Amino acid sequence: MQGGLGHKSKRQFEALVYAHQGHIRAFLRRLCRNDALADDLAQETFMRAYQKYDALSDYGAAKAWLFQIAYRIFLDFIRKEKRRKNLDDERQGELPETPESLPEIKMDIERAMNALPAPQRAAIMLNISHGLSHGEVATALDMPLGTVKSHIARGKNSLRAFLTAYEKA
Amino acid sequence: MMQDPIEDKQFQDLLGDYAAPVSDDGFSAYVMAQLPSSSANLQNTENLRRRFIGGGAIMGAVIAATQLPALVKLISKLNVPDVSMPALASVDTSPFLTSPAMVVAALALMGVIWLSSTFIFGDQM
Repeated sequence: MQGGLGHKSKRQFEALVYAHQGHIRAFLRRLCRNDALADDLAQETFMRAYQKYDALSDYGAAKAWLFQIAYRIFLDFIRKEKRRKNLDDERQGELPETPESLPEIKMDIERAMNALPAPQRAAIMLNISHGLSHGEVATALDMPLGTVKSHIARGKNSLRAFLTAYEKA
Repeated sequence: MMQDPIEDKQFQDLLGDYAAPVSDDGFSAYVMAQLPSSSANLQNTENLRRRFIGGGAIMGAVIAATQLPALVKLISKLNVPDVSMPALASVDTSPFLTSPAMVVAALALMGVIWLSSTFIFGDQM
């Protein structure tokens, strides 16, 4: 594989991009909390997927495979960014992408989710929002199954606490 | 770990908007337009490989050529000691020097050359 595909494969890849770009971009936007950056990473995700497309044997597993590439690219970006300057900590709690016009509950959910560490947030999103099984999440995030289960359980606990607080209010 | 489907549905609804897919807005078309063309890519790789192999061959030939006079000089200086060899049973090599045997040997040699060139140059020969 030299980074190019046959005409038929390119058509299949195009279908893959159209089918999954929305999920991948949403996933990355929530991880990055910066739409423009997330879209750049999403583009890189599909470029890398294109280079490795021949390695994808099961088309049904394409979604989890794309999430895996996206998450690796996100982690690479975070590592580079941390190495360059320690902006990550400064960004915590800023929520620049949360418009004030959103209904209160949506903003609160964003706050609750953004308060979770990135791996926990990723695991919760993939499992609950994108419907991936625990095993698929483990593959996508390159984590042991036990760690994924623990991340999801902790994330759910946080959401549960949020729901309870919201109901009380 | 047990999963509560009702609670999961509740969480799913709660995160419905949070993780909602982003509308395309030309993103897919842009990505597809950015993909490298396969033929151009292959051509570049082939050209690079040919240049490397050609450059390596030329460099090897130049180095070998510079060493040739030294080799000739070395050979001319060699004094082979006169060693008496034990008598060996005489081997009749004449069958190997017949025309059919020579043709087979030549064909085998050409086969080896063809195989090695295929390994090196692929189907670009």
